[in-house]
Amino acid sequence: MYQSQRLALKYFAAAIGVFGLMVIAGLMSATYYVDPTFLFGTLPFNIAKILHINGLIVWLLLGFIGAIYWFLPEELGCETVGIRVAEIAFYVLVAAVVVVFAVFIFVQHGGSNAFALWFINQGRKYVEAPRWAAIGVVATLLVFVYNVIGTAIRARKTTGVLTVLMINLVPLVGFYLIAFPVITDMSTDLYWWWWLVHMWVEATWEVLIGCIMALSLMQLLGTSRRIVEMWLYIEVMLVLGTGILGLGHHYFWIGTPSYWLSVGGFFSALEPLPLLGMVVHAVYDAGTHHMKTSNRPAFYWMMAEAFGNFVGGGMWGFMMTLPQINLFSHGTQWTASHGHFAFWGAYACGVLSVIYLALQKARSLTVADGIAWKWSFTLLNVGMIGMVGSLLIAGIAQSFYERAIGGSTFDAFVAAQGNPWFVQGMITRLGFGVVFALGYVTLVYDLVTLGRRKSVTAGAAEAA
Amino acid sequence: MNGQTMITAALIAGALVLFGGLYGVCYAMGRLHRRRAWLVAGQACYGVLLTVACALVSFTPLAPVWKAFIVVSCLGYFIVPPLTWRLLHATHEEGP
Repeated sequence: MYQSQRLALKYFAAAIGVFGLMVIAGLMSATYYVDPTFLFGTLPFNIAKILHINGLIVWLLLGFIGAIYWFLPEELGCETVGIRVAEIAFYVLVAAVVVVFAVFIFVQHGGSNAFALWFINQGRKYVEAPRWAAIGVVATLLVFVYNVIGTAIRARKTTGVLTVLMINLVPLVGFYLIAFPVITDMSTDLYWWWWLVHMWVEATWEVLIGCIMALSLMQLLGTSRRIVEMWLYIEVMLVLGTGILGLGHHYFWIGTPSYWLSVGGFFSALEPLPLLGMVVHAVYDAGTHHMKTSNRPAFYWMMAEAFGNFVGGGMWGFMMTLPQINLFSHGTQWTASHGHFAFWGAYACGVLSVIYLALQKARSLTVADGIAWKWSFTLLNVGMIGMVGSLLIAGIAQSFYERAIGGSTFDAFVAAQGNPWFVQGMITRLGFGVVFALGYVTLVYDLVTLGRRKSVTAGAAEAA
Repeated sequence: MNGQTMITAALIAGALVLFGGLYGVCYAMGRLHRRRAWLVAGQACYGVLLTVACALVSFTPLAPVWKAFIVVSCLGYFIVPPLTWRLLHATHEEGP
């Protein structure tokens, strides 16, 4: 195994660890809605929410970087250049994440001054990490870029997938720099901040996961490079074609010109179509291989990604993307429902698929299978579907009672929070959150013991 | 648009995409297993999609431009599965 792949396993372990922190913070956030006195005076809701959404970004990013470190040396046939620096960067990043999360939990907030900006909280959603840590993220990403491009230069070759990846690394780093400027005008600030959030999630991350899935498909199903690369180009074209100007759906209500209503609505409404093609592709792949593979968990998580992306991103997104509907639904639990489902389908399932793929090879397993992954797969997906269904009901109630009937006043907000549909929706969400958490525990158990349990070993021997 | 029409429009919009997806899955299954029943089920799903689109156009106060967009997008939902399938078939050597 290459050193780069050993580093990848560390990244995966860290990703799963932060995933766990995200789940705990999510359960806490859900509990506040059911019992507003929960941890009163100790840890406010906004801190749990910051931990939840920043944990999401961090664990997925760790998973992506780990996946690239896993595939890169195999793709180019040589060890990753600057692997020592990459290892140092990994430990620096993990240490920074631990310190930042500890500061969020124990310090929580500072004054409106430069010290708070640099050492406590930068104050912008999704990128709350204080300035020093944000600089650390940039440094780690630059090391990552150096590793990828440097290895390609040393190998004196590249591939279609790697070329797309390398081009994509420029906006990946570039857009994160938007986390730094301090803009006092709120509309202008949100205008650029959405470049960071949207262009990461619906452009550069889409391309990144596309590259990772392309590399996975070649290993998992033995799909030829020619096919994988051609479909990657098509996916990049379609996703960027609809995704970039889909940015407009964030510009509906932040003080930008009204033409964004048309631009954002049009391109967002187109987004389900490429995802539909992905669903057809998934059925084709599953059928061609008769659902048989030496790594069923990786395969099922990959399939879950295609379907989850379509339903969570496409269907849930289209329900609320047309401006006349979005006027009522934006910023409610309806949005949270869409966000949970889309992130789960588009990214989380893909990262879990790659982790299973890597573990099979790292532990020299002929077959990766067993019963535990089926439990974790079921519990995690049932938990997620239950949560997004509950949030959808709560969000629709919020949009109806608070926005449409109440006219978005503060009194209407408070009244909607007490509406039975909203309250029951939030209680149900907490229940399914617990199911999801059980799925996470089973997932960790499976990842730790995969290939070391009797049943799996027997299965491998049988297959061999 | 009031609260009730907002909910109606949103749910119908969701149903439109859902039946588009079901049509795609049934179409792919039909081609994969060469079973007519799947293809007929797919056509039924697309029929529901058209009905849903008609409901969206007729019973919701969406702006005319969005109604026109939804009508045109029905064509997109119809074309994407067979187009994807043909491309898949043409590019994969082994075939289903």
